[in-house]
Amino acid sequence: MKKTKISFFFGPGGVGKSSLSASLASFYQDKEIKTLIISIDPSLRLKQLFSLPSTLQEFGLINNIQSYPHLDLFLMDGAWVVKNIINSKDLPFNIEKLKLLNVITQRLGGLNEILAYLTLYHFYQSNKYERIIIDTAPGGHFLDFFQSVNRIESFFEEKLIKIFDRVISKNSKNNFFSKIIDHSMHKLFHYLEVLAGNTFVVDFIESIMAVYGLKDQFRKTLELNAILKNPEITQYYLVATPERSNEKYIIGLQNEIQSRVGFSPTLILNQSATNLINKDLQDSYWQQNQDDITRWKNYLAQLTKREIALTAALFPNFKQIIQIPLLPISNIETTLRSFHPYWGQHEF
Amino acid sequence: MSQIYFFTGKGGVGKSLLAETFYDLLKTNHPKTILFHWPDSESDPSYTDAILQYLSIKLHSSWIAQGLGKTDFFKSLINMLPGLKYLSLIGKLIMDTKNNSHLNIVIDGPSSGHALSILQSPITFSKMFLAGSLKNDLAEIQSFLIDSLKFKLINVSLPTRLSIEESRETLETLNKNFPELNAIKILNQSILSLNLSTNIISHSFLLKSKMEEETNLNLASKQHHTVPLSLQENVANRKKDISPFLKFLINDS
Repeated sequence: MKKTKISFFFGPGGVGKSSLSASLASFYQDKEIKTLIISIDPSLRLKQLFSLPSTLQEFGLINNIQSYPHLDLFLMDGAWVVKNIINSKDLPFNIEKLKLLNVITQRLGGLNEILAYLTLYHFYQSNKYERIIIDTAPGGHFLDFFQSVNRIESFFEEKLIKIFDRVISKNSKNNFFSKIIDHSMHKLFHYLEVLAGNTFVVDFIESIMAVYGLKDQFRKTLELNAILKNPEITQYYLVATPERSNEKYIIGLQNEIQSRVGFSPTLILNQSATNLINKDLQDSYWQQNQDDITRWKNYLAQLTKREIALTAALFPNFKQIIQIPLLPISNIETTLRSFHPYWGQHEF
Repeated sequence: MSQIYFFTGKGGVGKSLLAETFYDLLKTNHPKTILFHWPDSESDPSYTDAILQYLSIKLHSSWIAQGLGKTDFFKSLINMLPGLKYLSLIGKLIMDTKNNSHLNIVIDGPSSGHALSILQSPITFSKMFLAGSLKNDLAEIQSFLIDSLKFKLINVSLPTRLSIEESRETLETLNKNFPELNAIKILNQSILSLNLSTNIISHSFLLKSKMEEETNLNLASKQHHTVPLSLQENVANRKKDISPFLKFLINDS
């Protein structure tokens, strides 16, 4: 099997991230390349793009999508990640029974970005896929994905683990507090007890110790960091549209990504409408001086003006640009396929 | 009475412009109104501030709270729990309205997925904090969110298939967890409601395709409040166009 390659789609809301990532996935599907597409966004629009029933209650890995035999879909789900990725037979405890971990990893629990990091690492090193495509949540939440590295690193810092090791080795079964050496930790537990009661503190310590028990597993995922910074393996698509993107915001996202991975994302200018509108406006109909027609002519002219300003501001900043015109809307499968020529021209 | 208006919807549907316009509108008769932009990223300092403010009150000492906030363990723990950040911030805003009668907050919220996580957070954490004062505060947050006079969720969508589907799904999920929640649907940038002559439409591919999509969605039966597309270039003028269509959200009692 060839080495896995990873493509990320990110950008502000409503620019077509999900449609584009689904279309790239269907492009690889048609070429019979084994592909996984991961949705980080809790809104899970991808379900709809692959015509899965919206009532579908199945999350995690879905590998029986109709008419896409080479494509698997991963809909972010904490319980699935805990059960299939974090869990292992060697653990001295049953991770699925840890109460607090169960609560915080449930769907809509807010942990999506960190869980996505673990998920991507898991599937990357499984070597089962030639391509992995990641559809992210709008705007700044994509950056939270990169923050996962720092979060995992600082949570599993040696200093903190040592403190907890002492908690484990010194405490007698019923009294956690009396023997905790670390003063600040002692105080923390005391305050937690005031706020949330004693049962919580016991559950909390149990969960933290269990998670610390998984430290090697978590730390190993930090290898992904180097993979995300390797332009031979990972590629970033920053998506913008003339109608809904502002150049400062897009350049801001570009800089954030560049500073984290060391190279610039590829810009996709989606739903480019200038050519279409200009062609329409050549029609003599628009030369009439009726109020309604003038208003609409001005509106259309406004849209092209915005697109020209956006391209003028963005294009000098990007080495690689893919410009995709506004495509006619038809059924989902046809729409996804109508993007294929653009992927063909810019194959990664 | 104090109220919170929480604007959400799929990315790019115009939440911010609607929230800002509504804020201007509400402020004219209710001077104690603030506009709150929900942070775009979990690294935003307003989250930690909200957590520390809460701890200061509960532990009766900002000094202890600040000290606690500085410990490495506390910092790294909070960073692993974005849900706790959401909870603290929504809790803080609710507390602000309780301590300040007649204060109205218009929240320019995040897109649907993260909005669901925010509203879900008090339920999530109530499964965790079974005793102590946190438990009572969580119950108070939950009862605020389902009080239709105090909390309004405004779900914005565009006349596009993806955004309508996302709005439907969001409300369905909310309805399951918060059957009493006061959710209001707004269809933004509607072209159908402009009642254009078919002539104009047939001469522009862009308008025609947008129009067809909106027609196919058959939204008339789905009880949206409609805001027509504004053709103005300037943002201030666009707000002027939109404003009358948001008046229905204000109920002065």
